Amino acid sequence: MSHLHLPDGIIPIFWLALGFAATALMLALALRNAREADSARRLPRLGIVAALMLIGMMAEIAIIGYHINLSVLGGILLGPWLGFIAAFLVNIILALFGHGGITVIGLNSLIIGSETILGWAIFRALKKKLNPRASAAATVVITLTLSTTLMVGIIALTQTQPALAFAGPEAGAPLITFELVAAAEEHPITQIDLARFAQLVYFFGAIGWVIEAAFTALVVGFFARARPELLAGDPRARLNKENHFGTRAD
Amino acid sequence: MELAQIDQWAVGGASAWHRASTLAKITGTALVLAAIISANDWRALAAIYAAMLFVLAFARLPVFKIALIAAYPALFALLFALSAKGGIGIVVLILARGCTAALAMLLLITTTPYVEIFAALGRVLPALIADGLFATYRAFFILLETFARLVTGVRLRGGYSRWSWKGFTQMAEVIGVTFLHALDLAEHAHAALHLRGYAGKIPASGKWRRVNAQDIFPLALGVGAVVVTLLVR
Repeated sequence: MSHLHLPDGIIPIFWLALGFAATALMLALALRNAREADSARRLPRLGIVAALMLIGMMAEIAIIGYHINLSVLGGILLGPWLGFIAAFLVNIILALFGHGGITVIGLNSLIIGSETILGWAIFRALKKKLNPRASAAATVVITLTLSTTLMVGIIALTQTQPALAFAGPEAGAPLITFELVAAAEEHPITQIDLARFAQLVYFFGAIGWVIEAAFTALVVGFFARARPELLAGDPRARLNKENHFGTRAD
Repeated sequence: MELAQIDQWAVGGASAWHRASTLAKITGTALVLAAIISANDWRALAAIYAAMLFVLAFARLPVFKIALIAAYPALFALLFALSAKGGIGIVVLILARGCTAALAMLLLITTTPYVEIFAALGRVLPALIADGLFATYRAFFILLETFARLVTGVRLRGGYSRWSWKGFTQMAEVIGVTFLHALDLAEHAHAALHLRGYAGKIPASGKWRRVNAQDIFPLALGVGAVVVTLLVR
């Protein structure tokens, strides 16, 4: 739900470009750090987790217009770097199906990618104190609250400066102009009622977070019993003789 | 899930649009998206939308089904649209823009095999990400098939309880088993790839950039969309 479900042409080009630049930087970091992970495991695991996230995002809870992200679960299973890459892959494929615009892939990757990174970090911290299920549930609620706030923040930021304006009907007016500060009366399409938007997303989002938290907790609980090494959490863990996901030094 | 159906439409079609090169179709789609982004009149969007519906019919694809899939993002864009100032006109423009852009993307993927689209993207993306696209797409179908078989198995054993907490927990565990099974399959497939010489990048054919006479159609649509946007303001 924190995914920016915006069609192309709403957010000003400056912010879209900034989103892509920031995503490119994060991907460069992620690729550099992901190289240290076991190469035999990383592509299959990346594909499966990204596919799981994709399935989650395509399954909509119609009543509240919410779809679960499974991005926190992705972060827990893949770690922060591969998790960010998975978020990027999912956003590309979703954009190809018209689920979110092509031009907002950068911003969406930052939001969903932040969920994988925060999800990994918060889960690692919480599981020292709580059992895996409780840790996962709390992680989902905290992470999605933060990422939804990030999404609302992005919407707020892109409404003020610079703004994309559309030419009026006057002859000779440029097709697209840029202004430092949007004037709501002249360019209503770039202005939204942020309070109303925030109310809607937090209200419907909160219902979805509870559902996703419960679901993620149950899945994590299952992995904790069946394949605990999947939740080991070290993003640079290497394959060793004893288990599939040992420590880096082994 | 529509992915399998979309795949079938893309691979099974033989229309002139299907035969156009992927490069031309991607270029045409980019032009159409640029036109949609800069359109500020609903009539321009309507004209572009109608043109794409005509192309879908020309390509012998199920127009209504695909238009319905393209309308799906509107549900999520509605939250944003309802928060926009400027009255009903702005709401309609935002939704129209969303559905038209979605239809443009669907026109691309229902007439172009995903392998060629990913091969084109692989020219600009790093190896792990390009291979990740293929791996994700393949994994999607593995997960769905495994999930469907598991749910059937649980139902046959009388253990499935739909609208209850028990059903919810069952579903989570089925997803967990599905994931583990799919992961094992994917790792075996990856090992097989290594045996066959995989060295960090899946080589894709250059078919996606071979131009031909049919390329005129997607390029004409793209240029036409831009012209309509410039004229109808």
